[in-house]
Amino acid sequence: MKKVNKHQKEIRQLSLSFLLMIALTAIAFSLVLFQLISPPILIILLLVLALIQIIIQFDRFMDMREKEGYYRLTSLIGGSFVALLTIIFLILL
Amino acid sequence: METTSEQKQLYNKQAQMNILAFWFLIGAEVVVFGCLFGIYLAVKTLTSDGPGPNELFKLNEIMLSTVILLTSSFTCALAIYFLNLSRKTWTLLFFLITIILGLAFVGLEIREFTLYVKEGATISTSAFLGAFYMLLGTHGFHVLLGVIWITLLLVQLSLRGINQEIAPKLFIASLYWHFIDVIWVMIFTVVYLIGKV
Repeated sequence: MKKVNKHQKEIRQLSLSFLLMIALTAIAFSLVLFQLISPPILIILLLVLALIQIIIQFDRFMDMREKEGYYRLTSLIGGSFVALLTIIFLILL
Repeated sequence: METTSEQKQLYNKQAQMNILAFWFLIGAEVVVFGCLFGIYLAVKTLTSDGPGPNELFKLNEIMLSTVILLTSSFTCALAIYFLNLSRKTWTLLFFLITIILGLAFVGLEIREFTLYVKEGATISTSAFLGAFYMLLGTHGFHVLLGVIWITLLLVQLSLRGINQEIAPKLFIASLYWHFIDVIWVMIFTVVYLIGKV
């Protein structure tokens, strides 16, 4: 009986993450469609919304919190670091 | 997700190493897409005589393909949930929904591109469009590859059922699928939404 409850909790968590992601997407699109905020702040806000969504995706759907998660995090952060350097360099070029 | 005893049976030491190795590939893929994003951002303003991002993109259609891909990511997570419970039929069903949604996404993207080309916005029109097609094309190709990959695994699953061999393969394919979705979140934010600002 206890096991069933645990599974139900997992399904609920997955559904909740999905609804949250849809909500974040809806917010991002409506911010642009209605142009309520001035561009510099709007761009930062959009990037923050995307970042939250990506963190949810990694955390909830890709099991980042499992054991030995450090290696995964290292590979992700390493990749992101190189990617960020490339992006900054290409923009400044 | 905590590992239960059932899951330990499905994912042995070797399988866990394979999953870890796949994370290194994801790290490398982040760099690949980082380069494409960098190029896009660097040449975004170089539109020559062609249309710029603001005139070209139609947000309604992008919203539809975004919802499709997000939903496919969710059904993929559900498929893995049922895989870990060793429920073959549900696993098959949710992976099937996932690949159908993936195909719908690719179809919408092809339609979008043909529309742009008809409007005269081809890959050689401007530096902006060249970088745009490179970035979006690479992502679309990844989606298509994921669809083919999961389809092949589903054939294997339906023939042999859930065992120690197929479970890690499906789990790795699901990681790939979620990663494609993460890249799409970056694309619709940086390319489409910020392009419209």
